[in-house]
Amino acid sequence: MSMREKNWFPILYMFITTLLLSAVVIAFGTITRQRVKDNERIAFERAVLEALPIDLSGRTSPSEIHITYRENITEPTKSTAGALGYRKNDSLIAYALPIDGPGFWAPIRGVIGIAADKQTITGISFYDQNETPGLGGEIVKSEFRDQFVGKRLADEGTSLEIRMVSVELDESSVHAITGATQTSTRLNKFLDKRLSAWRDAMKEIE
Amino acid sequence: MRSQPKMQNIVLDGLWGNNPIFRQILGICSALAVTNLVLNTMVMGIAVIFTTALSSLTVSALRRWTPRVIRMMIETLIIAFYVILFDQALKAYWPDMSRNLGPYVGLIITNCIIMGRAEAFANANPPGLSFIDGFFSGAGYACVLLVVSIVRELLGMGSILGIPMPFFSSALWDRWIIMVMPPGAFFTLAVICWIFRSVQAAKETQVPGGKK
Amino acid sequence: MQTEKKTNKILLKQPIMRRVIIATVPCIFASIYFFGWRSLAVVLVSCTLGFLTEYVFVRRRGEPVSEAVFVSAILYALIMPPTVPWHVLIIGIVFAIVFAKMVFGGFGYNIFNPAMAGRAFVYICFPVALTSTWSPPAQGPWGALTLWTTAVRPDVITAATPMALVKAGQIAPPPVLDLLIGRISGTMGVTSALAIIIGGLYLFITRTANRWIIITVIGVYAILNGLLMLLPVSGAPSILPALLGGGFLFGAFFMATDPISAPKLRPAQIIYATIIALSTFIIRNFSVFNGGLMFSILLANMFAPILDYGFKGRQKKNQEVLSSPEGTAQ
Repeated sequence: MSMREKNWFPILYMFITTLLLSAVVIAFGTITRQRVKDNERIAFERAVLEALPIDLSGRTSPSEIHITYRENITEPTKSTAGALGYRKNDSLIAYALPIDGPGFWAPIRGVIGIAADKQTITGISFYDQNETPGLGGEIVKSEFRDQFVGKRLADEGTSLEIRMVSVELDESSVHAITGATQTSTRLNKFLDKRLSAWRDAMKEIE
Repeated sequence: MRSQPKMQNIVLDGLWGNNPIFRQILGICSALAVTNLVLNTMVMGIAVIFTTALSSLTVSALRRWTPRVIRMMIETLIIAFYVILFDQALKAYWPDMSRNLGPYVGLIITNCIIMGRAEAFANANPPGLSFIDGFFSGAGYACVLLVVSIVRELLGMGSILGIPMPFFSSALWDRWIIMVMPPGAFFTLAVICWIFRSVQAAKETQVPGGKK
Repeated sequence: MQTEKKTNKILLKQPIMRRVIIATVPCIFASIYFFGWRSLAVVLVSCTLGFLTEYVFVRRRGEPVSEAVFVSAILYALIMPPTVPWHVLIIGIVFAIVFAKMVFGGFGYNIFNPAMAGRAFVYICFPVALTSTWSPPAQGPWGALTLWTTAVRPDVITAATPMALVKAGQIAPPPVLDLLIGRISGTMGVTSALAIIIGGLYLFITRTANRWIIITVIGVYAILNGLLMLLPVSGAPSILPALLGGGFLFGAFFMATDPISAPKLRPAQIIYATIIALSTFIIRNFSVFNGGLMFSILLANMFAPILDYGFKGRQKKNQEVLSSPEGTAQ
């Protein structure tokens, strides 16, 4: 009777194969873990910088992003109500408020920049979204994002609104993406919620 | 002893005669999910080719030692191994693409093409041929997906690989929004299967006494 | 029910379908009256393309084109907005005939109502063309009889669907009289409840359309809306505007009763009609979509075969129970 016909052989075989293959997977995973983490961090830092009035031209490699971020951005404090601060020579130029909420397919995460007057939007960017390409996915395109620049948070009630394309705009609203009703509605909801909460929190701090 | 299949037949079968998608209708789930952009589809195609080729090779190399009772578990293990490797590599070195493809890279594990090739071919043939078979089955899959994605991106977004195409990106072309949504894949895939099968049927009737 | 098959014939005569075509005439006239002669062109283009598409498919089998294709094409055209771009119209009707009818095996085999499937396709495919441009109805006693289209300047007519605006509370629902006559903006042939009722009654009296389906759809929908009025919900429409608006009657008389995609047995038909009314009610009142009736009919179409199957099985069982004392040895 050869070893292959013993009834413990399949178990041993399975065990050894699993051991070998998982060892490789785990080893590879360990090697790349730091890199994956860094990627996520850089994506966030890039989004923060893009939402702020910072000229990034020519400085878009991961290491440059990281350096720019470290030089300019300060962590959230009590006086910023959860927003990151953009400082130059110790004076605060703008806030960067992380936003997240449900999208159509998966959560949307991004950053919205607000100037030191706590009203004027300096930009918006998204670093994690899985909306339908060509529809909801258009939120990452500059056509959509550029609309936000210069808009003002309303003092009361709805802070910022995403409206249907056929409805006229005022200084605190932008147009939705045609055909992406679901993404726009959901984005509108959590964006306003987060911004209104931040606005009210900042009022309280004053 | 069965006669060994010829290399040329393996290649042609994988790409055309026994194409996984329009002949065997396998792996439709990912075909529907990732074909809205040509770039995503290309990466997905590469992932599938990588997995089918290497898992066929491994299954075939181990076939003399693998006990029959646990062979399917071993096959799944091997497939999962390659898929996870690919997924990890993508996460580390191409995070944007990894985010675009979402869970679908991981779902290659459940793609029946790979298991199908391992069971139907690699279990009974030498590693070299199995590798070729896996490679071209994956390539056959990738080609059809590529056609689907070209149609979808062109009609739905007016571009190919993100590059705006003349006419389709102009105001003359009203973008077919349904094409970038999952239902668009159903129609496109169905029409493509229809065309390919009609071509094949026409070919077979032309050659009297041809195979099948 | 094809009784004869002659290969040299181009058109299969179907008296039932002929009567449906006659019943749509008031609606076609209403759409010309309110939105101009372009409406007629839309109907004719839709019919021509529908006919050609079916002809391409049936020619190979040597079968004639069914008259039903004109019914599908006319119904499809009538639920387009008056400003529908030509390419949208054409893509929709070709899709409707190819994917909703011919791939299932042609006349008599389709699961979905072709007109509804075509409309759903273009509705999702070209949301801008289908939901954000509406032309106003012509005023005055002569209506739009002297006009090609009432959409004179494209920039003044861009607005959300009237139904969507009502839903968002941005405009008050139009008065019932306007809804009845149809002097409102909306899809071509569906704004005038009066024209639909004239055509619908013709179908009802001649028994062309299934009476049970019509009565159940309208009845259940009216009751549900009545119940909603009793609840303290703000913005609930009252029964009459709900029935008259948004082409509900058109769907009830012309779409839900399509003899091919509706079930054949009476109990199945009643359940089918209830599904339509219930889901229309839910979608219209509680969801983000406005095309409630369209989705409801397609949804109910899916259940039609299994409803028929289920009730057929029960009928058989009942017969077996009745005949069992006689004992059929096997």
